[in-house]
Amino acid sequence: MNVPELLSAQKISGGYGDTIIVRGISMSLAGGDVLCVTGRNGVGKSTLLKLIAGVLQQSDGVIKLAGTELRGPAFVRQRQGLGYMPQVGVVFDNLSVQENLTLQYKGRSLKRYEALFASFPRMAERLTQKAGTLSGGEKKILSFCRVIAETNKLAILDEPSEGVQPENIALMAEHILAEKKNGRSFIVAEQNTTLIEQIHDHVLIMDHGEVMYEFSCDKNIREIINKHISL
Amino acid sequence: MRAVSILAILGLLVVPFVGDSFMAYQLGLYLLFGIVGQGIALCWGRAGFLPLGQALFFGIGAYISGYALKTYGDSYVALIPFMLLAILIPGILAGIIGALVFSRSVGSGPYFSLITLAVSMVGFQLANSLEWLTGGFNGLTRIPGLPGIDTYETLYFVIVPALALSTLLVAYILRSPFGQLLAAISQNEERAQFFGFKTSSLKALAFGISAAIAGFAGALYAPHQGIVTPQAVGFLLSAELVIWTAVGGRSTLWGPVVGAVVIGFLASELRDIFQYWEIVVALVFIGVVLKFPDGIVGAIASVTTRLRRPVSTADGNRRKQTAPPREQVSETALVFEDIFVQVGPVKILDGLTFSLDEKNITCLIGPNGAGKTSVFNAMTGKLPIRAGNIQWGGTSVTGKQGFEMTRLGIGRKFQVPSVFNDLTISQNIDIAIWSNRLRFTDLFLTSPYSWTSGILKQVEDVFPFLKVSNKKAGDLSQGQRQMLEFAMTIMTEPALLLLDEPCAGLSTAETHEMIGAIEAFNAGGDMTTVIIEHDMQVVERLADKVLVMSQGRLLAEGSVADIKADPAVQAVYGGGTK
Repeated sequence: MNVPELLSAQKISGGYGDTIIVRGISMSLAGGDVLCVTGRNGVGKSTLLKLIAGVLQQSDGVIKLAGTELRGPAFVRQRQGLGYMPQVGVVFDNLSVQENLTLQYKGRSLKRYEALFASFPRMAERLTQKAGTLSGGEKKILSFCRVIAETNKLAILDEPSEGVQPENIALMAEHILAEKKNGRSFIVAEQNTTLIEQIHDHVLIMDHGEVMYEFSCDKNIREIINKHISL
Repeated sequence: MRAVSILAILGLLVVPFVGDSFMAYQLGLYLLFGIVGQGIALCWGRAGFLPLGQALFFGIGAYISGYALKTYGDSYVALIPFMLLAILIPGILAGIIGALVFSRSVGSGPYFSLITLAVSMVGFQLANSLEWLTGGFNGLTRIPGLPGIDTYETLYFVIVPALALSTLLVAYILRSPFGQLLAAISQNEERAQFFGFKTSSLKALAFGISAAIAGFAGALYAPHQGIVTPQAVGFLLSAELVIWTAVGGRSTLWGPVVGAVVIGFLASELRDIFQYWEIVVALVFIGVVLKFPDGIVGAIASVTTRLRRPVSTADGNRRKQTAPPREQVSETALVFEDIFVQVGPVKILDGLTFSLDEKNITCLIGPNGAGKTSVFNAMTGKLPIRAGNIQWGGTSVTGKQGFEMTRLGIGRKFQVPSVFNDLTISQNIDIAIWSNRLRFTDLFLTSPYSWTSGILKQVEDVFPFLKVSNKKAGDLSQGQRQMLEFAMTIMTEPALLLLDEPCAGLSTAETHEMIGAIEAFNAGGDMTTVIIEHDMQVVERLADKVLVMSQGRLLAEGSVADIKADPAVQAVYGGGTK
């Protein structure tokens, strides 16, 4: 590969307390690449993402982003150039949509969201509304917009499509691909094969906390995934 | 645990022979505070709400007992009814306070704690000013000891059995279905309501019991001290009781007792040798709470459980007895008439009208934000209805609460998987089996643990992971929790089943399993099912009828083919699959 490596993970393991869920996973990702992580429920997809994002601390292994080792809690890793969209608890319910979107920026400007608002006009309409009154799918979209508008090198998305209507999932794919063109990388945990088909460069199928199968750009992706998952 | 308790009680009984009787006298006071702490632990450690004014109930017990001892001090026949009042009055008072506060809102926010704190402060004021009743500032003085019992020599041998009794009572409650429900409530009160439990009453009952325990300790405090002053009902003692409970361990049976004894002796030793002893006690408190959030006993217990081998998984065998039948719901037509729901400036439901009267599967689809989940929320008391009428089985159910709707045969699965994370799979299943079955007396019997129902077997066949029954629900993946919650909702055998995105977070293969499960449980034709779903594959496989919503209104209804051909629907919603 000519493109320099952005993220590398060497044999990372970890989980909750004494329970190890992810067992010795290694991966590497180049700038501008999208890695989709899929697999049955309970195999450790979310845990893997949390370990990289720093929501959980790995018990073993080394994670490097552009050559710098990622260490410490999530907010430190965020500053090192990493974005994260969790699977649940995605918005601050008591803040308005606008506050949710501009919380971390000094100018509180919504300018960076123009393209996203064009795709998801509902967000622009609901700026003054408390985020807690949004529907489940709208909360996911809000969280998605927030991560996409960040300017980091790598965004980690944990099941962005869950509860989102198909049209909006397709729009999410467009935005991911546009960001990818700008050289941004993504790690996306997904169950939605249609979305994976649209965005993936590499796919990692997990089982029992380990990588079961790994492949890059393939047309028969749906078949491969179904073959490995429907056991 | 039982062995530890027996050893502890025996150990306490030999203290006067090993040490001196003054030490035992001092220890007796701390044990009384420990009894109050056990009640606090029941509320705080188990049910998840923190009472900040527990001294009020302790003090009321002490005043009643003190009055009785001063007036009828030589006859147990006259004393015993008063001692019972010293337990009952605080218990009933707390039950009423709890029922009033808890019915206002779900959750255990700070309001309950602040109200109990305020009530304790009012109690202090009253005790200070009602001189004719309480002796005012000086309190009730020269209270004689219990007849025939020497306060300094033998009262200790009354206090230790009292502690044993309180320990036994709290241990029994923690193990009873009531105790398990309290744990469930502290983890997810709303979900507990949707199993048909009136959680406010259960919490009020727990608070009442804790206050009765406090009154019981107070009744012995009066003869022990010979004086009861307003301090006994005041805020300072209330706060200290909470601190002792926290230091010892609020989730353990013996923690509050250990906390009261350790800090009690520490304070009494330090007081004599060090002028700023209170700072030392405060540092101990801060240190323990930061370092061991589960308290001293909690920290020790977690080490010993780690050392011990895991408990065997034979727990599935306990279900041997068929659960009592539930009341059957016969009328099952659901009608929404012109429903308006508005939150702030946002119109969520805007004149929604539809009706469902057949026992089959209806899918509710529409764009994000169309108001789909709000339909369920409006039906189950989670959203205020501004206008319109909802009818279920021919009667109006507008504005009914979640637990009432569950009792009327409506089961609901939430969009975000909601299960009781700190309970095991098996304990989660208990609560589903108990739903709409558990009567008041069953709360305190062990027989509900042996209940099983035919549908459990079916559910376990469909979701084999449920057989790993001692795994904590919180350790399951999101998708498995999704399935567990679905299974639990099915186990309530609802007449109307509301499923909010049952396949969210499931892989393609699991989505097929879930579709199969929904089909299987609907095959009997005795249930009306409403499914909110985005995945058209699910809709096509399952729907007998489709309702399309947009902007809080019904846009179209009909068969899957009708809906797909409808240009108005195509304009807002195309649908797709995973």
